[in-house]
Amino acid sequence: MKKILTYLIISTSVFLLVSCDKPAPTQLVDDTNNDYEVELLNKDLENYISSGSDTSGVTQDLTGLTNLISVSGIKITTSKGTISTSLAQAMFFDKSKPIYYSDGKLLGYRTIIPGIIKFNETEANIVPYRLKFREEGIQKDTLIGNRYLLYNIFGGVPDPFYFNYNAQVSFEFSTFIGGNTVTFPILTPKEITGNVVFTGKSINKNLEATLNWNTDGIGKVSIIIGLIRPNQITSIPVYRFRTRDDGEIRIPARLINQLPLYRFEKIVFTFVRSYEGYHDYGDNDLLVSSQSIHSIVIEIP
Amino acid sequence: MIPSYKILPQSSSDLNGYFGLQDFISIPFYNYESNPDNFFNTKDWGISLQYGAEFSGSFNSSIYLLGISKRIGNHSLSARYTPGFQKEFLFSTGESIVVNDTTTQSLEANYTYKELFGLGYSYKMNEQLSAGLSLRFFEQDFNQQIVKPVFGDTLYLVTENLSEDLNFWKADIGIDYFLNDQLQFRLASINLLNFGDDPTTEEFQGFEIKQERGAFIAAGFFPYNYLNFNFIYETTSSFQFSTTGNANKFVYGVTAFHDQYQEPYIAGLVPSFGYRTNLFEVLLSGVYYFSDRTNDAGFSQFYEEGIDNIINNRYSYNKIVLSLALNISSTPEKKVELIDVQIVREIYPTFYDMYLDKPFAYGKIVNISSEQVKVTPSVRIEGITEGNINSPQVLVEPGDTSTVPFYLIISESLNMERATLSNADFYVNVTSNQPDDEMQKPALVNSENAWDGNVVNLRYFISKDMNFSMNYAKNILSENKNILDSLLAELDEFEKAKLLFNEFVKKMTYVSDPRASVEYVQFPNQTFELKGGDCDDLSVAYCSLLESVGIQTALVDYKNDLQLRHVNVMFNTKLSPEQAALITNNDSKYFIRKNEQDIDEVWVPIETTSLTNFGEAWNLGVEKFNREALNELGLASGKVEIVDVY
Repeated sequence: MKKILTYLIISTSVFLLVSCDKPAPTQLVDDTNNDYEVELLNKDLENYISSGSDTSGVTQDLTGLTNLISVSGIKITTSKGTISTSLAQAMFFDKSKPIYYSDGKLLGYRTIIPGIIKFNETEANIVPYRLKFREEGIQKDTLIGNRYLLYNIFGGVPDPFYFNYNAQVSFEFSTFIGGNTVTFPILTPKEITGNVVFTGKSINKNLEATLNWNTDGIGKVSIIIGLIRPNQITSIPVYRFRTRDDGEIRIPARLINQLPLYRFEKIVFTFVRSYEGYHDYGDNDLLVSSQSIHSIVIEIP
Repeated sequence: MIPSYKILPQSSSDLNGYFGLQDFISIPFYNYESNPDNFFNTKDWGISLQYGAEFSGSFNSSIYLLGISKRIGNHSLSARYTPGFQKEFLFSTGESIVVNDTTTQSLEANYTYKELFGLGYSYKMNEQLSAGLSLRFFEQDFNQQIVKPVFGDTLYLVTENLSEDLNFWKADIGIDYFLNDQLQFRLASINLLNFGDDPTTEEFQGFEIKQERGAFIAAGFFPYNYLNFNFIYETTSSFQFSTTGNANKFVYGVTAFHDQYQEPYIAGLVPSFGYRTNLFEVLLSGVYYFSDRTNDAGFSQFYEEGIDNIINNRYSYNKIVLSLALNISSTPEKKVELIDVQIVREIYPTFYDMYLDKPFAYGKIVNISSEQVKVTPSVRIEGITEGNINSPQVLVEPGDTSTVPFYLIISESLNMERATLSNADFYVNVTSNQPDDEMQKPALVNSENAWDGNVVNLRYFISKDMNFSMNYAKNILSENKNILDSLLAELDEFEKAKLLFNEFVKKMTYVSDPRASVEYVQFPNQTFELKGGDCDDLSVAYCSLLESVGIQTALVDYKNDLQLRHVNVMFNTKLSPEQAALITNNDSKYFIRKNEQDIDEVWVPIETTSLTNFGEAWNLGVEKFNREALNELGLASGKVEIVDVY
């Protein structure tokens, strides 16, 4: 009896050991609000060409493809202080007039100026729109038409356009012929004000960045990390993070320390809170965008 | 970014509920969690198996535990392999990488906590106190996808798998104290010593299993066998309480526990039901949580609090567990203890049946079980007994101390020419052939000719070679058949005794005992072979001759002179006092004794050392008897004693 039981329990143990599962895992649901997307904005940090569309150089993908109406309230903080600017622009493309690279790849479309545009009842200027690009290692630019532009750098200069946060900007369009007028308000987001705690040293590859901002609690914000070469003012955007508008994100240290920071002098953290809406007009999609932008420029330690 | 804090939920919880202190569980289930001193009652080898299943929405079964234990005296050792003591968490890291304008890839993580094996040692200091330690090995496997930039000619974001295995040992100690049969206590540490790897990867820091030190105290109250109560309090304000019991071979119990980090206040129940025999035990238990464990659990709480107990935490699922334990040696639980043995008699091999009536040793035993037991004492003396000699069973009440006799049967084939010192092994058994306790004592075994000086015991020498004496006596009587046939029938015994004595003394000379320090008595055949002996030897030989032909004899023990005791013989003539004149007209030459029917019979004293003739030996015997036994009141004072041979 004793032997039988001994063999029985040993053989049962072996059978169960080889036949059974492991305990069930627990699937945890992400309820932290700490999730984010990270996107690489530029692969080629050596030969970056800014479209020059705004002072941060990072906000819109102005590749000459999508009809755009955009208003922005922009703050740039450096070691010298903070500068506030307002920007409004619009561009419309003629999809029947494409522009190609020399290899036949689509570069963009020529723009058109269909009438008069006013932002907050201030008529927008019509300025040339040059598209910069690099082809076969050579920097080139091409004039693809005109666009509408208002910008206020300081106290209504040069244009008396003021971006109203958490309010609206009125948009008005009138055709040159026939005088048809279209008006609608563009809602603006709450002003975003960021703060960066940037510690460590690049030479030690132990830089850490913790970013905070005044939360709106809804929607998402984009945080763009860019780099500025020595003696230059143009930022080269590297990463775009999209995360919940909950006021805090800790940038994984590896994403900063693995960059070739020794080639750059400054790092730019740009906080963007935006409202965007696409309007489908067949082949003529229209993106209406308003955004609050705060760029913080920091010397790389 | 968000500080983590430690929790200590129910570190003393195990899968069987509270059975750790139960006497009726003799085979352990290796519940180091509630029994860090791993005290248990198993006496020999034991193996255990726990197989269980979780109800996580699906049904996952697995081996929870395989264990083995060994008891060596007061030391007990145990080891367990716990493949099912693991908890795996799967979650999204919260990080996504934009692959192109429309596609994102979410990054995943997999954290697994395992307790792989444990080792236990316990030492039982006495019946009230035992202490021990457990050593447990844990493994933590952290795997997580991360996005990482790679800079060459251009910049790329690549997905990598980050992993780290952290191992650590956990050591705890515990003490069990049995105040009495009804109150028992346990004090044990929680995470007393933890040593092992620390995470080097930033992503995994803070996710290690929590190892905060603490302690728990347990108390057990056992008013009845069928119902008792236990309580465990942990220093982190968690507690559990249980009621357990047993009826016949069935055991049962239910444990409820409060865990300050689990909801609701009483977080769950652990019911158990089992069946046990001396050979195996089987226990079916389960863990039932009052909160719904099949709902999705949030990462944030895991991130903030982590876990500290692999088998019982806020993410644990309801379980059912089948525990099997087998006692390989089938050594039963000890129920009685042999406290002491006192040998009250030396062993004289010739007194072969004396120890059937008179124990040669007494043992003191105590019933340490909770039930009335029948104890069988037994003894074995190497070379003296054939196997164990059992004594009658003794009934002992729970907790009582009792004295048990050890009787002895000496092997008939024994041939001891000289005295030896041998070991006597004393045993006490309750239910099986395996003794509950045993003790060894030295015992002096005398030679077969040794005599303890007690005249009563000369009978063993008289009866030893009865066949030899019978043949010898019959030869003499047959040679004198004519004489015997011509006498009155009433004188048959007297004349036979006379003829036998006269033939006997012809061949004998008196030789004093050569062994001055030890009483030495020859068997009749040795006396005839040696043609002589002292008073003991001659009296034994003559008595043996008379008894072999049916003449009733008695030995007369003269104890007047302590330095030189003397023995001679008295025999029954079967004559009545009225018939005494047939042998003598001197009424001082015989002695009247009543037989069993209360009838007076004439007895004649013979001095066997008077090796002349029957008449002379009779005269000397009468003279000594009258003087010392009668005139000096030796019979009345006990200085002279008549000892019937049979």
